[in-house]
Amino acid sequence: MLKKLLLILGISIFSISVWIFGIAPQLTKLPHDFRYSADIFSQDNFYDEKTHQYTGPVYTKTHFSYGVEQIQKNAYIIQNKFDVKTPDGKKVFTVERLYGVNPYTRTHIANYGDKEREGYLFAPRNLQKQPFTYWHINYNTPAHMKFSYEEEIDGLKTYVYEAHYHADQTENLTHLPDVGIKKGVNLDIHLKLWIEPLSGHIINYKDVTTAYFYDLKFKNRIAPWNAFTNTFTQKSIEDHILLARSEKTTLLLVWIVIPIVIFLLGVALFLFCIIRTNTYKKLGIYKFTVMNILLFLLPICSLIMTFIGWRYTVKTVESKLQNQFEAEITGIEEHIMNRFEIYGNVLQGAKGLFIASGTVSRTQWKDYIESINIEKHYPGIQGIGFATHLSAGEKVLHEQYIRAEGFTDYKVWPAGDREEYTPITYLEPFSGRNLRAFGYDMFAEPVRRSAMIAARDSGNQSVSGKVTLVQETNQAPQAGFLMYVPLYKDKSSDLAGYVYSPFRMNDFMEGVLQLEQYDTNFAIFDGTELTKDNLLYTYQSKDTQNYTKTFKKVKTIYISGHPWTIEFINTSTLDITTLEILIPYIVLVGGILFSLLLFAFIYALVTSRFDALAYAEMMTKSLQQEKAKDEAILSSIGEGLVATDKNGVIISINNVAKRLLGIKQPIGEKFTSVTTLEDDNGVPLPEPERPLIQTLRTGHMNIMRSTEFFYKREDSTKIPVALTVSPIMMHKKLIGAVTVFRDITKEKEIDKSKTEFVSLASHELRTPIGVIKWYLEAIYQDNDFSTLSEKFKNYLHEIKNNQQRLLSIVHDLLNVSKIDQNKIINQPVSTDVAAIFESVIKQMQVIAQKKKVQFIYPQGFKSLPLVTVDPQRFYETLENILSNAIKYNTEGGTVTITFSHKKDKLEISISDTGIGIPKENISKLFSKFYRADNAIRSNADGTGLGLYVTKFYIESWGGSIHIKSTEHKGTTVILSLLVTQKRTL
Amino acid sequence: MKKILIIEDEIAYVKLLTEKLSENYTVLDAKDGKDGLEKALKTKPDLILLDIRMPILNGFEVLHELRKDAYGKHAKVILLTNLEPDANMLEKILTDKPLYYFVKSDIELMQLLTVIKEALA
Repeated sequence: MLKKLLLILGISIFSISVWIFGIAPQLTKLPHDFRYSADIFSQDNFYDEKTHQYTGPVYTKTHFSYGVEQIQKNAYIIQNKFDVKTPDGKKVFTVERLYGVNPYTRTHIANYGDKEREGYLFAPRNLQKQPFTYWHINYNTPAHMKFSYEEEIDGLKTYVYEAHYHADQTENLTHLPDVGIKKGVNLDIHLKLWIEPLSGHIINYKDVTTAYFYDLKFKNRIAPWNAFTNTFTQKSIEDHILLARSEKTTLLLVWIVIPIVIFLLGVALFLFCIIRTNTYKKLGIYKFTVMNILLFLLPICSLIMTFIGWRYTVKTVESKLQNQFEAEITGIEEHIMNRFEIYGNVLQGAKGLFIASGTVSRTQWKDYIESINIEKHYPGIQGIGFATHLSAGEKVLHEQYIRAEGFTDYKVWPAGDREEYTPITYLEPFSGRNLRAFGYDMFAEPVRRSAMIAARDSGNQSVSGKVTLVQETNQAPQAGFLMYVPLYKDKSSDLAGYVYSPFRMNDFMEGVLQLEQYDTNFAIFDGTELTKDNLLYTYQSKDTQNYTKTFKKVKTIYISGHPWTIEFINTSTLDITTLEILIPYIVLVGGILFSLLLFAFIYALVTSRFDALAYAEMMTKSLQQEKAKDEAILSSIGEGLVATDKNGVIISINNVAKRLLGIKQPIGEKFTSVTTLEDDNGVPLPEPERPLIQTLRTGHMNIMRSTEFFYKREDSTKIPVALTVSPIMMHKKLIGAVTVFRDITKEKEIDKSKTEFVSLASHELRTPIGVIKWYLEAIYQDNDFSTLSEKFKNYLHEIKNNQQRLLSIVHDLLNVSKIDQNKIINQPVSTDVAAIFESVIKQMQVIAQKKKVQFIYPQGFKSLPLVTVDPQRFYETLENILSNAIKYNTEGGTVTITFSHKKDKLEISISDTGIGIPKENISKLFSKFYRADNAIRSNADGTGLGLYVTKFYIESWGGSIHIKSTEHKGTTVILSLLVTQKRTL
Repeated sequence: MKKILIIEDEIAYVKLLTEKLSENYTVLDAKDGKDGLEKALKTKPDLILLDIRMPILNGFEVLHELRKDAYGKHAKVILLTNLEPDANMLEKILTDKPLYYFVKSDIELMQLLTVIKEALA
């Protein structure tokens, strides 16, 4: 028992260990496609060394992300790549860092990254408020984080860790003047992290940092450079809460729920084992084998495999979706970028016209634009125009010149005096909405101006921020933007104007997408802030079928250096079949069902085996008990018992039989071979005549009560036996026989001595009776007898009667005794019973007359056939029957004798008209010393031996005797004797 | 007068028989088998009434011995007993040939006397 429980404990510990040390870490380690990203909202406040004051806050938003770049043997190489930009969004340089990270512990590993870092790339898991070392951001020093306080964000518990430390950033800021040469930059950082404690997922990040320049030589502080804060945007925080929640759930499932489930399974198995064991112990079987318990590992393994399979398929589907999502994003991005390139080329082409021609007239412009057929080839473009750059003094001349072309109302607008003007001079197609833009000074408007300046300064094309085009009416206004290509006068740096295009955003995107359908919803924002004011365009996918997983991605693209931020959201199925989505669920549900079935199957298998074993054990036990009981009963029988099969082979024998027969182990032997049955003279009974063999042959019971037979024992001693052989029947078929026998030595002795006693007693009695008889006779014969008084004569008469009665009793006793001792002389021969009848009737006449009983018999005695009897004994038999018929008759009654000859039998019927015999006594009439109740009451003489002797004789001749009687009416004795020969008439 | 020897241990029989027979015959008696045998051989009676169950020698032994004697060989012997003859006795009876075998209690006194009379006639 203990062993099995220890085994279960061992298996549970093993399973949990395998899970915790083998499977769970694989499931919770850093995934190979890991990415972490966030939008950082930064506030910079630069210090002006000239004015000795901060210039005021500047807000920017940047996106950073890092992910697994390469997987090496023991480490994931994580790449962190980001652009350092100026506050107005211009990229300064790109920083690329490589971290070597242990995917299990998430700590830095030496020799893998670009720099030997220490501590955690993220927060450690299962935070218990302990301090830890953190190093992932751009600062070149590890942060020693200490627990500060707890905070709940959107219902999620977070630990806030803080660190205050210094970092030298000189080597990262060499783009700044003198930095790295004369000056260094030192940072005084207050870092704060919001961490989900179980997963160690960083939900929010905030640093409040002051950066100082210091003298590289003397290390003394020169001046502040920048006081800045960085923190995650609200949207990123929300995203990370979702991610942390999901990670937390996974961890709880993997590290807590599943081990508990395994533990509970162990407990269940344990209890099961105890309960079943007790049950089986009670039944006396206890066979909970190692194999049985190991079988239960199968469903556990199956569950684990299911879980792994489920995670894998989920990942597969998600990565497929992710890939599709990424592909769509890339597609959309490429379309936009391509469009811009094309439009840029168109503008550059138009610019080429100016360069080639020197001056371009309105008509030439019109012809050129018409020739490229923008409506057909460049859909989405509102028009292509030229804006002339004017200094303050050139405005009036310009207006006069254009009016001279026939546009009498022309003026540069909005009105007002400015340092420079850039009114729209040509715009083709010059019709409809575009007419409204004629003469509009774009440089007067800050957004346009900003883009124009960028183009002017860089010499390249530029794109403006979001504007409302002057072409817009109040009807369905669209967001718009403009694209500028600067034009210089004759290879000089003097600006001549801008070739430009206004774009209505929706029309532009229609051109970009060109009727293509996407599954991803996206919104394009001007700049990097996802605000409503910045919203340029939204695309709503027509496919609205929901899938639980939502992909989101925010991407900033730079169009000629101008940032557009696109937020992609996908809630649809993308290009994936329903089946593919269902596969993880099918795997999960199917796997769990399979595990349960497997468990049930194994449970059934094991328990049914046990139940069968228990049942068998129970049956065996009860059978054994029954058998033991039967055997006890059999061996307790005082008589010898031998059971044999149908071939007479001993299958069971009790102790009494073994002892009586003097044989030790006879099972399997043939009963008739191991024993010898002999008759009185020591002659063995031939096998076919053995009662057992006869019973087996006939199927009848065989009883041998005669004392003629003896079993001869091995030591040659003999025992007289009385035996009964009974057939054993099963389904009406003989299957064997049971021989029951007993030693009748004692009975024989008792019988013998009894008989001898009777014989002796009779002889001894006869002598005095004989004396009395003779003397009485002498008295009656004497001459003086007549002189006796009547009184004495009567006395003597009574004496004589009783002497006769006494003699009769003794005679009967002697007869019986002779029969019992087998000393009777009985030699049946063919006899004429008619003569005997005549003789007996004649003899009986005397007593019949005394009782006034009349004999009625046929006169044809002579015609009777000869029968087989001993004449003397038949005489006695007849005497006996007739004397009874007279004795028990009523006075004046009759005795009727009839004969009938049936086949080989002569039937003699002797009927009296006497007292009859009570019905219940008839069957006992032939017993020794039996006298019917009413016979005793009637005072008639009788010993009760007569019929016993009669029956013995008649049956010894092959005949039979029957008695029919009705009380108070009379008795009929029917003798049936064997006919030997018909008397010839 | 013809001589009858009664070999019988039961006095009552001897008395009655002696009384009834002595009118016509000389009656001798013996109380046991040995005495009876001696007397028979000595007196050579004409008829011997011989009991079977007797002290010292039984009736059959007496008869058997008697038959070895020249006189006894043809002596008339009536076996007078209360024993019912069995097969064993029957054999002896057939061997030593008594004149009669009577069961005392069965035969009537007068019958016996008649038989004796006829035997000695």
